[in-house]
Amino acid sequence: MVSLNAVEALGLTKRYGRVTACQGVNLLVPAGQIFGFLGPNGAGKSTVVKILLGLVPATQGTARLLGRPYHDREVHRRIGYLPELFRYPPWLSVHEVVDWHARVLGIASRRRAVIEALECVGLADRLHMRVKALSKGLQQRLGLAVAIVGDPDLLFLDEPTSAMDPVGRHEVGELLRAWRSRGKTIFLNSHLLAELEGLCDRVALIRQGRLLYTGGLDAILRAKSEFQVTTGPVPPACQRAWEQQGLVLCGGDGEWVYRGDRERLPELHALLARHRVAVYEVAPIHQSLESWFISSLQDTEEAQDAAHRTADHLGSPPA
Amino acid sequence: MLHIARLTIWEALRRRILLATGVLTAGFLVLFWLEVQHQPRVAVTQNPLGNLSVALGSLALGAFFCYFVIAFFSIFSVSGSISAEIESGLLAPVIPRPLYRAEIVLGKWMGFAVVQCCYVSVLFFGIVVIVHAYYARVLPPAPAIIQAWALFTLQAWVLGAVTLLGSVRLSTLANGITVALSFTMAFLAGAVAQFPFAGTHGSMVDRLAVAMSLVLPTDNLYRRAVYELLGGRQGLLGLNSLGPFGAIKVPSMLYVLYSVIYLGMALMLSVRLFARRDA
Repeated sequence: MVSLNAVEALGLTKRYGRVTACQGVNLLVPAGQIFGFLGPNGAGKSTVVKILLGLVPATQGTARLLGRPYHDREVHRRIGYLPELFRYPPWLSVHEVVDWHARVLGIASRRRAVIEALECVGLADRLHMRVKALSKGLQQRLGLAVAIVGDPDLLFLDEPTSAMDPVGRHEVGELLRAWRSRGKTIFLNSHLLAELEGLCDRVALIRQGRLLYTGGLDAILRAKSEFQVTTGPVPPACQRAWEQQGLVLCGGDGEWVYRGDRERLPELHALLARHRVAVYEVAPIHQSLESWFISSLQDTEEAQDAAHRTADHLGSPPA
Repeated sequence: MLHIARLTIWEALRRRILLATGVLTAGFLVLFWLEVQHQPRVAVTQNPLGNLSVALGSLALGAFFCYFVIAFFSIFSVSGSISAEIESGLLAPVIPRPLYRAEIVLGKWMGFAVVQCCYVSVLFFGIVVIVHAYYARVLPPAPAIIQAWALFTLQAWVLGAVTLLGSVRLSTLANGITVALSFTMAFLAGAVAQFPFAGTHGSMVDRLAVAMSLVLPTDNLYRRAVYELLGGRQGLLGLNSLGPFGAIKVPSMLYVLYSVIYLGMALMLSVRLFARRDA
């Protein structure tokens, strides 16, 4: 039975001497969702995933995967993983690679499971091709086949489409949506934010090993309260009126951007109507995941700088 | 564990390294055969002792080559196993599978052990058959030959385990060089101790040889194997005549027992170190 939360991490910390790769990371990934784990290079994303999968021992903290302790090897039968940097034995064939992993998982109908996994990633016609003959993109497809063989309940994918062409990326996106529709959970590490935007239910942002944000993707995309207002000619009296009422509109020539609460839109609408201004369209401006990602990181940087300045100020001797 | 062992054996069979090793070993056996064939032999009736000496020399030479070839095969086939596989990303998809890390280490050693056993058998019995073809009476009874074979196999397994231990922490090159140099040092310490005056009991050389044999017990296994192969012949026509390549001081079976314990400890330590290592 699938637990309510597929991943529960509590205080995951990894230190290498004085260097901290991640510090007190708490994560909650509900089952049946696609979870995007974001962060700049070296933020600690892969370290967290590696801790969860037993590749890197944690300095502190604990976690549960699918309701079981994360180091329980039995739970790993229900987990698939595509690492960011991986290689399969070049002397093996495509079929042999997936078959070996299916054997380790102890899958009863192994032959069928292997073919199904390879069909899913579009490698069914290359069964006997040697790994060394595969392009980088095809090797990534093979990695995906290895991750999904045995129908795991939880998939960890670290940059799964970084070497793929647009068609491959689209196919992987479709595959992940299909996987989610079957109640599977996908933990996705990726730099391709536009892709994540169309896929994820929830995201988390990590920077310098610390978790900055975790929550629903919808909340992020709707967080920016801006609306595109398309109107006919606006008389100066109308502009003065909205300024007096404290409504903020920028632009001109009938193309305006209203920055403010959604609740004040009827007030704006009434004001425009009073001045006989034709309103053609009022549409919310969605924030992209990328702009949120960049502004969040900049905000944190500024907050840190401010904290440093305060600390310096407090620490400096009086003039 | 068997999954990893199977993959390791599979790799040895599939990769060109086995083909290259097979061809070179065949070449080595042909050269050894030529060496035995072209040795100056006189009629047994004319000089039976001289003939025996030549035959034993051939056998000892074969054993010595066997010792070194097996050692280098064991060291270089294992030296890049764990560190190199982590660095290249080969182990990244494997470790999250429902396998204990100990299974990965022990499975690898088991796979190498099977390959080493096969290689030792081909090389050792190849040499024995060649010697037998020319000097049938020189060879000891079958149980002694089997004992010598088992000791050479144990030597390969010990070196495999030590190299695997090194491969948990060291890079392929550093590991290969470290183990190969340690092996050579162990041989040299054992060789010097064979000289009658240098190696007297309690002398510095003797103590050094004992210390080296504890650090890496391969030399004692070799000397015990030579002792078995020469049928325990002492004296000027036997082990004494081989100088640093012989076994004037025959290592006791306790050393063999120590080697087995040493092998187990090396594997245990590999498992412990690998359990703590990032992958």
